[in-house]
Amino acid sequence: MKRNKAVIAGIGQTEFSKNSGRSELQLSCEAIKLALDDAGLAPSDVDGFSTFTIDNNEDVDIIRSMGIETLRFSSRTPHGGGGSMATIAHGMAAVESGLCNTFVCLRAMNERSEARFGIAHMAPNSNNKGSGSGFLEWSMPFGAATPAAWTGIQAQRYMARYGLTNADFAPISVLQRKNAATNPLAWYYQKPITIEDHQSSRWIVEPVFRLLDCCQESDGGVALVITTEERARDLRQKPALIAHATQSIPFDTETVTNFYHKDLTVFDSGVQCAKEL
Amino acid sequence: MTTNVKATIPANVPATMPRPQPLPGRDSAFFWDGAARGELMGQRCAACKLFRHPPRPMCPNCQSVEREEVRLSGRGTIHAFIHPVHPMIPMFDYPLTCVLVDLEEGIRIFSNLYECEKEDVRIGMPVEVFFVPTAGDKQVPVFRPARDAKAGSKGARS
Repeated sequence: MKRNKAVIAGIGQTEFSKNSGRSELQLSCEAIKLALDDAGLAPSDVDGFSTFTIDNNEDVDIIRSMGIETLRFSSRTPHGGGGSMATIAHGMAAVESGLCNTFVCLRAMNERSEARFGIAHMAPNSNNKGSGSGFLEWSMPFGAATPAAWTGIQAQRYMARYGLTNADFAPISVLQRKNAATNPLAWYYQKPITIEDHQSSRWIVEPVFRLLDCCQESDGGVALVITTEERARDLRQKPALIAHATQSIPFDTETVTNFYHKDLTVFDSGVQCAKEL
Repeated sequence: MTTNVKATIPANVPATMPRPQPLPGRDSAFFWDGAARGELMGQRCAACKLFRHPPRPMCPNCQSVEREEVRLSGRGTIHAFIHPVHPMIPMFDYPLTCVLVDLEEGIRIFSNLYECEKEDVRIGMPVEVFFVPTAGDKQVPVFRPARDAKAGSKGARS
């Protein structure tokens, strides 16, 4: 038994929209404040912080804006969307080791109105953006410049191996939209989709992904407050215990593209995480 | 005007800008320099002779930093493919086919396939390299169905 079990003590989120009308830094501050309010904590309690590499908010700017006194531990987890989840592993490690008492995980971005991933990014310096793994060097000169194109290669191989068509992916999107439609802050609140909606949406990458296979790109911010179980006893919410959290960066995988590991029909990172958990 | 290859299959939507030029790093410059000369280059460990792509400074098998830059045959088979349709990028002809190719030397490379109808692309199809120009007077390697493999083999070559 670990002595200091990590828990999620508060959650904050802004509305999700197509245009937030405010800076990413403001979305960050609002999300963190909402999460701290939810937990019953103040910015001066925060002493640990993590976001992931593809995020534009600097620790120092958040500290200065919010009146955080000092951070004793700060980290960035690598990669694309999966990196956001890995921040929870860092928060767990930080509070269970005693490095921090109150750890904030953050993601805030004007992903729709400012930096949409679904728009092909062909800027001359795009090779050096993000985590710097250079995967764009090998895909951009060939017209693969969106997450749908990068991940479509693996999906096509998977479809061929198992004899699937795009219609087989429809239930996944339908289920995810069903879940998202329960969030009053979601753009498509109370607006689930059907299999027919999915199948009649336009192609993004043939024969793999239609529009409704792609995630809704939104402006918004989300923050979690992680602390120890012991400390959370005195806080506002009943805490959610973090049973475990982990990261996986297996051999020969890349940031978003995954073209080179042995069997592209297997998602190595997912397999490794599942084993750990 | 297009700077893409004059394909035997005309583009429905031709490029209106030159294809973006590659952006070499210190570890990958030999590959793009080779492409500019019309040669497909690969990186091989000088110690254990393992080919690797994309290039990297150390061999993941034996940790040697000694490496050889080897001209590859340019022949391989299609491992996976997609046709990106949205958003259309003005630097490319559409329809566009992106392919992942298993090269004879045992490494995989991401590129484009030309001279093949969209409906005819298959996993396992034998392909061969050729080169198309980019902005900045560079070239990148792309592929077409292998011309010396018309005998009907759909499986992996060699």
